[in-house]
Amino acid sequence: MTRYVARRLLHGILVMWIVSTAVFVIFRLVPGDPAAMTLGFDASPEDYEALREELGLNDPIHVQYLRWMGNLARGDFGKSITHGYAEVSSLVFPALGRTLELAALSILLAVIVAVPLGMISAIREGTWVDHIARVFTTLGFSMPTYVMGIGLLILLAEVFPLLPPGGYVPFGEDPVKHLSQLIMPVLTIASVTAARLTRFMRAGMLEVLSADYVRTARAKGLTERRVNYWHAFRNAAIPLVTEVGVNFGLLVGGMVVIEQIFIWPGLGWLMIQSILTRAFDVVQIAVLVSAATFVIVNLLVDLTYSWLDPRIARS
Amino acid sequence: MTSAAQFSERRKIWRRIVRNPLHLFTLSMVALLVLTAVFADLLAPYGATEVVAYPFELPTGQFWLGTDSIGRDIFSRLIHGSRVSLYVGFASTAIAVVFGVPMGVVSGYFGKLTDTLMMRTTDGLLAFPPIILAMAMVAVLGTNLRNTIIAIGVVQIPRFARLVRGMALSLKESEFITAGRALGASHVYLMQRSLLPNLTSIILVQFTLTFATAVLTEAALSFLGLGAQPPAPSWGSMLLVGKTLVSTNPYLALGAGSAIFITVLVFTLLGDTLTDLLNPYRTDR
Repeated sequence: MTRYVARRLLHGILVMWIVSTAVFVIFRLVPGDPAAMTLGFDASPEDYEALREELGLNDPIHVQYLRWMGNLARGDFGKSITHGYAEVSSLVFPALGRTLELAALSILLAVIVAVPLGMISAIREGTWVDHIARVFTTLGFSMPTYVMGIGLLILLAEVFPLLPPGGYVPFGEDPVKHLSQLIMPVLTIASVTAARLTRFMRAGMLEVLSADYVRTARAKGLTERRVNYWHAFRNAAIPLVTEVGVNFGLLVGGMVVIEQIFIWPGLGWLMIQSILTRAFDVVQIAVLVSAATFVIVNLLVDLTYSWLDPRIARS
Repeated sequence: MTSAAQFSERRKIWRRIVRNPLHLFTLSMVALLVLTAVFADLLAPYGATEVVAYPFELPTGQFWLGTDSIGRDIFSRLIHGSRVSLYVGFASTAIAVVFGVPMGVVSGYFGKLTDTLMMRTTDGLLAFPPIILAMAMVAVLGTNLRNTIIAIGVVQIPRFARLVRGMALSLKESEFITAGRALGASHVYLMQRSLLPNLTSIILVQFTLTFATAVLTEAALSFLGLGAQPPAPSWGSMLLVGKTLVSTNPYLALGAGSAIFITVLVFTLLGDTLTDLLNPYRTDR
């Protein structure tokens, strides 16, 4: 087990190294350097040269690369020129927090809906409950989150003006307003995620229900309820951990559009704003942090999984 | 494969299509979408950027879904939009296939160091949430349709490489590869003539699923203002404008949203259909 944890940790670090190198490559080696991108087309050659010098762009590429990795290793994300020399971390991490809040609540809601729905759909395979669940999952699978979000927005903010059309107030300032602003984005993401998880849960449950140990449990006379909830559910739920983790990681990145629709100042929103204002020093760190979150979540999921099912670590 | 066997294989696939109403529905929808895109100029009552009436007209017999903020026919723009969507979907998926498939075949076939290097690189690229990586590339390359296609395509390369590599890895131990090697066939020949033909059906299925994702991503990027630029009739940018016009004419947002939804649904279903049709192990009753 210790060896497995160590190996997974090493792998995580390796992936992070590749990720930060990829970010470096994307933002340095492409046509048009960061100085030109920051200043735009109408900058004077003097300003351009001064900024190049300040950003260290006149150094050889390997020096720049070592400086970039060195700063990251020390947790120094630099200051943003376009944001009045504010620490980039003071912009990115609060935004990440707001995104995680949205993602965590959505996943929670999705799991609460998907687990029972997927189970019932599997236990009652072929009945009308199953058919309704399958229509719901197929629609949810193809329904882009942003179409769903705009649909909700039209319904709950325009047609029936029950909820604010978006925005963000910190919880500490006005808890009621904060929660009312959360409802629509959370509903949007949760419904689409729930569709995926239901499909996954149903498939897992169907597979487990035909396993030998479930037949044995039935044969020794256990009640249907005990077989379903004690024997089948517990085994079907383990792979769900991975699926939840993958979705969580994807959500952190994929919420860009949702945050834009509901004006929720999370990581995706910050990225868009920074791209539009050419604040590439912020964009690159936002990209890096969202990838890092994905890597960390995956690592935690793998470790949880091997703890729940020790066979994984041994193989 | 002899031509007779090929013939009976085709007949089997044809029978499967005719017998399954869902397959028939899916394939006709795909055909409908593709034909709409190809003949958009003939089908749409008005041009994509043609101003035909006052802005904000509500649906009438002449303008089925009304007009947008500068008086263009919404229905016509939706039809022209299918061209943008399917074009981006096809071109970006093609990029992913052209680079991803050879990477996967080489990686799986040679194994060892080549494989380790390639797979660790894809590990790193797969660690980025897809839309974030696409956004970063578009931001750096500049926002236009060509760069959107490149960004979406590049994001999908590691996914293809992974899939193909896994298949190639298991196939290369097959007897027909060993036999080929014993006969003195070169590596390139074996990869091209023995491995690749056995991967076509799985690549085809992945193609349709990636296609759906690409359509979705293009619409998302355009919605964020990072994809197709106005006045191009992209469903994503129409959705963006539609969102602000919801109270005056909701049909722009509803129309663009439904168009995206239906296209993605149809191509996802096509993936299922192809999986079913091309599965060689399936036995027909």
